[in-house]
Amino acid sequence: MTNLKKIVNSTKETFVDIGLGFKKSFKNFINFFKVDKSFKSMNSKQKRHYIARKLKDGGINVGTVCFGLFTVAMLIWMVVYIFTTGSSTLTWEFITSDYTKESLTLYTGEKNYFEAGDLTFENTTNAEIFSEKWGVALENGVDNMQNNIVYVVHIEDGSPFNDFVNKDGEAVEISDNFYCNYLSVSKTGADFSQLNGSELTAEEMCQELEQSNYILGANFMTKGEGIKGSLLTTLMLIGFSLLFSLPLGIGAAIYLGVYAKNGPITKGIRTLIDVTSGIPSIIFGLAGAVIFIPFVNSISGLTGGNIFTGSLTMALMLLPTIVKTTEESINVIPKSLTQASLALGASRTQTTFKVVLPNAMPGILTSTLLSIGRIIGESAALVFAMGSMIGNTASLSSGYASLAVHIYVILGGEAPRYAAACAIAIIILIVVLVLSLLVKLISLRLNRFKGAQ
Amino acid sequence: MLEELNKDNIVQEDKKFKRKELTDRIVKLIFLFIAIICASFVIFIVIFILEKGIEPFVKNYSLVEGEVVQQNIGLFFTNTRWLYDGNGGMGFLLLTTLYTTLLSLIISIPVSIFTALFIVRMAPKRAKPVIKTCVELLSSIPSVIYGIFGMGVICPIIQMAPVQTFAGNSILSASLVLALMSIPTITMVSINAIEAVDKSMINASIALGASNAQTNLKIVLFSAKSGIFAGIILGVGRALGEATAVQMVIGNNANGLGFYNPLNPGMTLTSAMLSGIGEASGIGYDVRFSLGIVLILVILMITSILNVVKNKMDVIKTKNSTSVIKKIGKFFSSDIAFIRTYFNDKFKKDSK
Repeated sequence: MTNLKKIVNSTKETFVDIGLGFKKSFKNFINFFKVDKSFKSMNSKQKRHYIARKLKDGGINVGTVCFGLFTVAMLIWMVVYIFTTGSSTLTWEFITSDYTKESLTLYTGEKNYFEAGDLTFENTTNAEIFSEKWGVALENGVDNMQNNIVYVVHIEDGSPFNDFVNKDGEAVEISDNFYCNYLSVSKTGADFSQLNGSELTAEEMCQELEQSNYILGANFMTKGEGIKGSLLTTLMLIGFSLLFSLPLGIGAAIYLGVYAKNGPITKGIRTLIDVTSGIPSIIFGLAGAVIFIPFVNSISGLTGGNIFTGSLTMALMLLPTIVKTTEESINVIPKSLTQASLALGASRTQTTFKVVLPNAMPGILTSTLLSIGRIIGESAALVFAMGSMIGNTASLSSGYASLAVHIYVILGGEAPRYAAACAIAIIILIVVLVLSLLVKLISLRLNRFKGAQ
Repeated sequence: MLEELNKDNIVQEDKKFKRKELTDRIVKLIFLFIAIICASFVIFIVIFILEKGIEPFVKNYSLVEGEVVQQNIGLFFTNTRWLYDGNGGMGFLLLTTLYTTLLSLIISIPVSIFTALFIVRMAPKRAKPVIKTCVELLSSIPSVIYGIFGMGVICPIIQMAPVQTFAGNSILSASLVLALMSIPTITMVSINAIEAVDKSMINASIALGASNAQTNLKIVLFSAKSGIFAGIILGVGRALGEATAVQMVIGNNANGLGFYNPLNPGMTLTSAMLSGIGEASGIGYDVRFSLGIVLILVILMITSILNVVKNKMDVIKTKNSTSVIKKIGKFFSSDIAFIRTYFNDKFKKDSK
């Protein structure tokens, strides 16, 4: 409770302070138009000089404020654009459905048509759109690309819709996630028309169904366009990349922070790690394609990129960040702590594992969070090192696209799909923003050692 | 009896101690080994890309059956079209890359310096951390999202220009996206540099009668210039190496003669590497590694030149810098001084 009060109070204070700040700026703004008391006693040259200086200062100040606000406005614009474009597409179904559409073509068996009987069906559900002649309830829906589609929500007992068979003549049950792509119907038996779910609303389709006497065939589809595969791939990628990079990075950081003495080897190691952090990600992608794909494939017998090549490449990319952050947190640990441990008779190894590592935990956590943010956002390297095919599930043996690569692929075609891309971008943005705020919080905790030193 | 026991004890202690030291040394060696592995990766990267990048010039590829192609070395430097069949020329890709980066810097340098100045010197006290956090968040947003923003917002804006454009996909939109991406990087480093400026210097300037704006511009920015330049170097590195966002908005025009006009679609080194990667095979795939070599060389060259400039800027660092850099600096400075005096004399004569 007290914590809540504190937070409320501090937010209140912040707002009051910001208000005061703006009041101050407003005062400065007003002061700009007021002239100095000594202005009257100046001669004309002094006056001209005074006015010129005032104008110049005002211009510089206004310019500085404008640039500062421009940067903030850019961030807000970007976030607002992505949230407004993508929020309607981002549903639970979008996250959990496959990318490719599954098509189900239905046949009418030996007779090649269904004929409507004389009897009418009664609506046993509370669905509003119901075809009494055929005994099916229809409903409007929207697919993951914001197109209108028609669902068959309920089929009454005894309706011909129960008798659909597949190509081999086996009975088929239409599950809930399939929508009606088209129905082939006929009014008299001699004519033929196709009722497309994407062109007609459920009401219109129902009317058409009531008017027709024969059904010749149907096609049902799943929504598709989902991101389940990419999401799972990204999660696996995060796991494996951290598995490969954390031990290496922490080991190197411990060497540099605990054991290293100033010398040519240490200097060389530091320089090379610095150089690694300056390499652009696409070069890492090339390196992954030329080093890790042949290496992993020769061991496992796979072809092309897969999760392991991608995560090894990402591990390479993450190493400098992990080494630097962890080393920083090791350097912050007070010397007295390690010295006390050594004085009590612990060996260097024991000190390293029982004093240095636990105290460097915030740094390791920070580097992990930073790494996760980087893996989620990386695209160029993964296109080369893992692959850009969008998959329905994640698997160890095949290199499917991660979330960022998914965005890159669906925006790269002839018709860019902004809504879906922005929906994925919302996920990435939220994860990245939350992670960087967490990192900020942890770094505040890390600062507690600074007073001790 | 007692002595013997003691002796035994000492021997045991000695053994224990030796074992401890042995494990210590082994553990240290293991960590050293890990550190050396981490550091040597960059060497492997360069060697492997070099090897693969030279292949298109040497190896024979068969595009069509019975026909053998190689990357033509002469055309690689002179051709004005980028092709994946062995006749592509990367000269204009290089020029477009540099041009795009330059355009983006023209936008991003003033914006980020003044943003940093605003955050440190002018923003209300409590609003300061909020805006600073905003900039930090902006720098952690991945490049694909900048790409979406470029495609969805910046390209339509460019399309509104009275000149006909390729659906807004142009060098200008690429450099705007790059500028947006490098602003947070440069701003963050500049904030640190400006915060490190000595308070007494600012106070002295104000005491001498300079206005706040004058102090900001002439004292604060001048003293922080080396730190700001470090940020600019980082920004340049990021802009040169950026692939996805650029590829999404630049239009990927393989014909390079129109690169001087910012409203034309273009192609940079990175976007040439990335475009059509899904279907690439044979020489069309391997030649991307040659472009990778060019990109590495360009980034190395530009950042090292900028670092030399920065070292010259920073007086204290020049003293500690290696003698080679010093010699290069001296060599150029004496030449430049000579040229300057020459032109000064000439100018004096002319004015007479």
